[in-house]
Amino acid sequence: MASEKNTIMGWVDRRLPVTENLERHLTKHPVPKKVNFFYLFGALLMVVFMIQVVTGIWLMMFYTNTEEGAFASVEYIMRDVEYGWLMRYMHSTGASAFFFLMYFHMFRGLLYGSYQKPKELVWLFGCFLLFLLMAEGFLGYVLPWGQMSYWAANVILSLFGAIPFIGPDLQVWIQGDFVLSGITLSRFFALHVVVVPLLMIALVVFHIFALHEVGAGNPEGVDIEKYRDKKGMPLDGAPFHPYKTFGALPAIGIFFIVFFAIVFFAPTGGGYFIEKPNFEEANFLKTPEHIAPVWYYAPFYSILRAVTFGIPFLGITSKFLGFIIFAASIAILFVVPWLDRSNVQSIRYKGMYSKIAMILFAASFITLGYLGTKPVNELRTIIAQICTVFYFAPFILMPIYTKYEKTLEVPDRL
Amino acid sequence: MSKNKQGKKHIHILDGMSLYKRDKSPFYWGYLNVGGEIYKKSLKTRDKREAEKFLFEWKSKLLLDKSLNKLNGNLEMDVLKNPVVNNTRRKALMITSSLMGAVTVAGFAVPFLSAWNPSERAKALGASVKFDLSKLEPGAMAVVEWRRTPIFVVHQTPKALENLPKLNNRVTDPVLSEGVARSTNEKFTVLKGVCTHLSCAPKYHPEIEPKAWDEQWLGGFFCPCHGSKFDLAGRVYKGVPAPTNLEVPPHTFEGDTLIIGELT
Repeated sequence: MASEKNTIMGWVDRRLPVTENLERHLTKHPVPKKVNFFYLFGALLMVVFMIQVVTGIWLMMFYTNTEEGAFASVEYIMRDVEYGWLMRYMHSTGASAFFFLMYFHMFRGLLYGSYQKPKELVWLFGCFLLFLLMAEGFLGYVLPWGQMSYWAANVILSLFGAIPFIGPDLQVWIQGDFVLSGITLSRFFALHVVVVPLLMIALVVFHIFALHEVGAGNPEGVDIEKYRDKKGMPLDGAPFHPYKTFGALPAIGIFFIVFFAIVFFAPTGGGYFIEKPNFEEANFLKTPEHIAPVWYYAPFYSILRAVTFGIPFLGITSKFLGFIIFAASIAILFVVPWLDRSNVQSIRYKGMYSKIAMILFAASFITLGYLGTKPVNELRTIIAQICTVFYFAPFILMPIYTKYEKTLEVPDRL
Repeated sequence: MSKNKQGKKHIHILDGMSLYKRDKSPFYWGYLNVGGEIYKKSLKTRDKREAEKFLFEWKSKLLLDKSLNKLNGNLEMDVLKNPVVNNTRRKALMITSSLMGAVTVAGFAVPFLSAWNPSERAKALGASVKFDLSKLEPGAMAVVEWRRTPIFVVHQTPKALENLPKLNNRVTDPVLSEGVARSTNEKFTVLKGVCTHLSCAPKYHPEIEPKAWDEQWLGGFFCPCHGSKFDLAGRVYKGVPAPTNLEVPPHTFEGDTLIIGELT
């Protein structure tokens, strides 16, 4: 054991088990030796999280969190601060990258059953992280205090106002004012830079510790713990370091090439990463012609808009019902581990219905995303309504089709 | 203290504690003086450091035994060896302390949650505003700011007032009880310029002409965000995302002066 050695590390280890935990969670942690590119998104997410934390701290050094100063301080960062533009565009592109990677990471989970017993908690922590990321992104988008910051925040805050009975008071309480104002901006700043990031760090730690307790999955859904060599290392496993660390390096390299290409050449992403009206200061008497969310909220915004009807006899307005369905579209992800009744993990060994369900889900998610960025008309509303049904159907029907469909036999070894 | 009466060499550790060697024994022996009582025994080790350790352990064991005996002698109840647990009492303590804890947390939450309410300054800024109606031409609309909300003040034309009842069938909630122009004044309509769908600002389109969003447009408000339509009295059309009519803010007329907001 390292802790018996008469070295500085040995001295530390006898007091704080650094080496033991490093080996357990990093260097010697066994991971399946054959996985595909879908398994790289977790590592990339860690990289993006670090980019966001570091650039965020630097932005905070120059940003002013007041109604009068916010927009000007962002201009100041962009024009006067050395490399300020780089910090800001890395942070804004990082937000888009965060969601992009998160969606793929979660879709991997759905495809290969990364939520199945005993990984339920890993999945739950992940879903909480998605929720926190959405909150973090929303709060952060308000901070530059541009037109879209202001009006998009108005749309979201008015959703709280739609809750029966307590809604209007709740909205005023969240805003700290009768309208969205500088008071709201200051508290959103505190939430964005301290509260939500702290919660996210805690959840990332839980997510990873829980994962290391139950072991990482693989695209085949094979349990690698079954066959071990004399030292207890799974035969189909390899130590995380150097096999996965060096395996992830090329992926990180490729990711950086794409990431910085966007940062340098298309930081606004054609209006999808930073919308054009956001280069204009917030004006609460002038609504932009077309309020669209940033691309990563578009699918959920589409679901919100697709609900054009309420339940009058229950006193539920279309706005509140929209809010409920919108919340349900995230909430349903949390219960997936208990909806899947299949005896296999991976989509590769599941039946035809599971495959159709995944295709429907992915297609409707992308279509909803496209529609969410466009102005509404009758046809688009109908398409969005159909896609909303297809978004939910794969989950709602999951207990039925996964139980009765014919699955293939999973091999013993990877 | 380095020598006892037998003259053997003692290694002094602390007062009343020493190690010594005996002939024919390869081990260290321990000597203890605990409160006047002398104890001696072989520590069964050749290593001096280990012997010291054993000596300390032996001493603490003797001290513990002594204090236990003392307790037993003084108290009738053998608390440490056979603790008598009163579960009812423990439960009661548990419940009361949890309740006290919950009350404490709730108490501390009050200032933190209240801090999020509108401050006195925010409340003062939300006070009522005045607007002079004499300069508003018929058919024109003025936007007055109240609580940072655009308030639409419309001077209705006779033609517009004539057209409003024609739309009773096309709007969700005709609110006939509120009067033709939904106002306490026959001529002026006062509305919150905030779409009841998702808080966008509807645009004023008083013209009576076919529009992209309505072939038979008789004038009104159109929300560019999600396509909600309202008539000139702010009544919402059927089949649009907005659920209710444009809100009428609290207002009063004093001659040519319009006061928006509550009178205080």
